[in-house]
Amino acid sequence: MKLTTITHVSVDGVMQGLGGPDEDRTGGFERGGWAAPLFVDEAATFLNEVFQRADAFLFGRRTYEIFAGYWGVMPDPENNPIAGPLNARPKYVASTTLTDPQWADTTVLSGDVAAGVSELKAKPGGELQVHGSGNLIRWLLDNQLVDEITLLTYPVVIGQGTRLFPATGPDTALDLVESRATPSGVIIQVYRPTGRPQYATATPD
Amino acid sequence: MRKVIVNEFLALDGTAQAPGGADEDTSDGFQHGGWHMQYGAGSGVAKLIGEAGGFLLGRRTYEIFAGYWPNAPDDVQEVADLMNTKPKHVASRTLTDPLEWQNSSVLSAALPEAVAALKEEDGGDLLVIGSTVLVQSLIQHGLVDEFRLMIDPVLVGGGKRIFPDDGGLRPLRLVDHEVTGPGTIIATYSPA
Repeated sequence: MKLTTITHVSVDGVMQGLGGPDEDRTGGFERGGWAAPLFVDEAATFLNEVFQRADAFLFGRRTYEIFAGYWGVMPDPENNPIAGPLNARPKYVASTTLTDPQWADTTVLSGDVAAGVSELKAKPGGELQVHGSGNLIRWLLDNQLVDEITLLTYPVVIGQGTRLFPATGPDTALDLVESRATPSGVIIQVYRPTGRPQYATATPD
Repeated sequence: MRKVIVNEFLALDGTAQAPGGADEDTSDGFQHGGWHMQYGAGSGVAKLIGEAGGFLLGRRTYEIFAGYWPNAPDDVQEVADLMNTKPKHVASRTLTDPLEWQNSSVLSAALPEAVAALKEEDGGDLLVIGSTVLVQSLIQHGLVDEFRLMIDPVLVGGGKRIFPDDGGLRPLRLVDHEVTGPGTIIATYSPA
């Protein structure tokens, strides 16, 4: 399976608490729900298509619990383009502390997560999707386990909160696979990591 | 009224530091300078510089540019002529006039007053390049009319950023979206 990450970010790279005011108040975050008013038309359609094509989902613990408590308890999930796949398809959680997952068809990867993820990726065909799960995505990037990065960049600067990309990361070159803008100003970007970047030795252009 | 246009090379993780070369700006131990150079084609910056009425720069970027453009190599002579001859307005509490680089001067009033006065003048728009500290200040004072962000397909892992971490929620409007050959996204925003 190829491992793809899908993340909603602001122009200043923040991913925290996009869906609602109380979704994630860690660190005193007060801007929860910043994406909701901008998540319309083509951005919403795109996300529905993304969920439809998933064969399995991989989560960090915090996102798993948020999703389990919202998508996992939604009535008639089969009639919702996001709840449907989330409830029907296998879910994996990278966690050393989650012991009794309540959401059906969940497997906890608690031992060697790198080995567990590599094993999933070794399955033929299909797509293992990572939504939310900032800590996990940073770890996956650091361990070169990400095949594709999708971002939805919303036209807003948040000024606080956790960002997707680490402040002291590995440096990584990317190929831009696709980028387009929706009528409401959301930019959809898809990248594939390709290895170490090149650095110029000359001075500015 | 002239516009203040913030035109920045950014890595995908939001770093604006040292796009042009390894030694451009190594402050805070930054080791990945020069990350932009392989993505330069099609960025449209030369055209923007040609149309600009002048530049609004922070001290550090001013010093980097002043040390480079007067002696720039032949293959960038066209842009060098524009950079050298057009007016440079420098926001600095430590530099004083006269400045060494031709047609450069230090802003003589507080930022909001100085920028308001510049906007009233005739001529092309004011271009801000680099100048991350100045850009954060311009944003906080509501002085930016347009952001033209050239987002290269690279993660650099930390470095100076252009948006303040002051908790301020600032809605934007996407004005234009373009993709260059090498995979740079040129996203133009105005404050909403």
